Amino acid sequence: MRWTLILLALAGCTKDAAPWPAIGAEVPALAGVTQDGARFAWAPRPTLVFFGYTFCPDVCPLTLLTVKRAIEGLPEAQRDGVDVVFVTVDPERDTKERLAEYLVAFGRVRGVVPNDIEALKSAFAIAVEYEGETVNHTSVVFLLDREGRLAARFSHGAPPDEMRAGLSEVLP
Amino acid sequence: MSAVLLCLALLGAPDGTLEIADAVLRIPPGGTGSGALYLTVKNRGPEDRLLAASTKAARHTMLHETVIEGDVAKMVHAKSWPVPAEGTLVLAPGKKHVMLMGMSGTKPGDEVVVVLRFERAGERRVVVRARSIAE
Repeated sequence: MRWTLILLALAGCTKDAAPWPAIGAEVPALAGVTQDGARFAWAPRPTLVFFGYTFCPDVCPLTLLTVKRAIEGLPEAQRDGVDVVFVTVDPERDTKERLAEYLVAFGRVRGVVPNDIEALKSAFAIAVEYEGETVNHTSVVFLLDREGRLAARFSHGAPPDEMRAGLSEVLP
Repeated sequence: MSAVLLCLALLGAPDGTLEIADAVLRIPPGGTGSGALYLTVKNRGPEDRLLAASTKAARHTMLHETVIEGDVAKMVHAKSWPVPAEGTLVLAPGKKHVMLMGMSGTKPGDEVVVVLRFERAGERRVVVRARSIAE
């Protein structure tokens, strides 16, 4: 019993005190396929993550444009060190083929079609509500550091400069 | 003079009361999916209302306003928007916009005709050049 308690305490020391989406929390696993048909895995480099859908005419393209501009403003040597991940919350309409066609306009973005939308909502604590042809969804851009820990959250409307400053903190 | 003004009032808003400016149509990459129309309506007359927009470039259009509640982006459907007397109605990215659903075949650079329907001023035709949503 005593050993069990000690082991539990040690486990507690090595795990995050707060779950996702607290700053410092480890990014949850994400099961899905990319627009190339590959199984998705987080890359070991700073990553900007956004949840949206391609039929979104306003918030999603504006956000992807902001992300694109944030990265374009980095020194050239740093740009390739950033991963951008767009996870669709509308997997019924957003096939990997559609993601490929859509995302090419926003630079080097990895699109992900999640395997299970309910599991995605639960793991990432995001809101996804379907209303006719539109989807209400969490509009935060999450920044992961190289170890896959949450470094910053950017609310909708955050300017490219703010994202770039956040990226500079986690880039080598 | 007053009789002329009365006649004009009975016929509805005279031409030139509303001016449509800064129209921008953003279309999705690949040309299929949803687009957004932004513009400004300047009103030099009494209050009016924008009731609807229609275009052959889309299967369906709706007046939408992006609202951020907490960290959740919501599209609020509006039946109409007021155009204040001697004021402006602004449709802008991240705010009010006309959502164009079921777009197909429109390419960046194409001229698209959109008909705006106002309560007082009636229909106004706007020609806007499409640009990519990623610009």
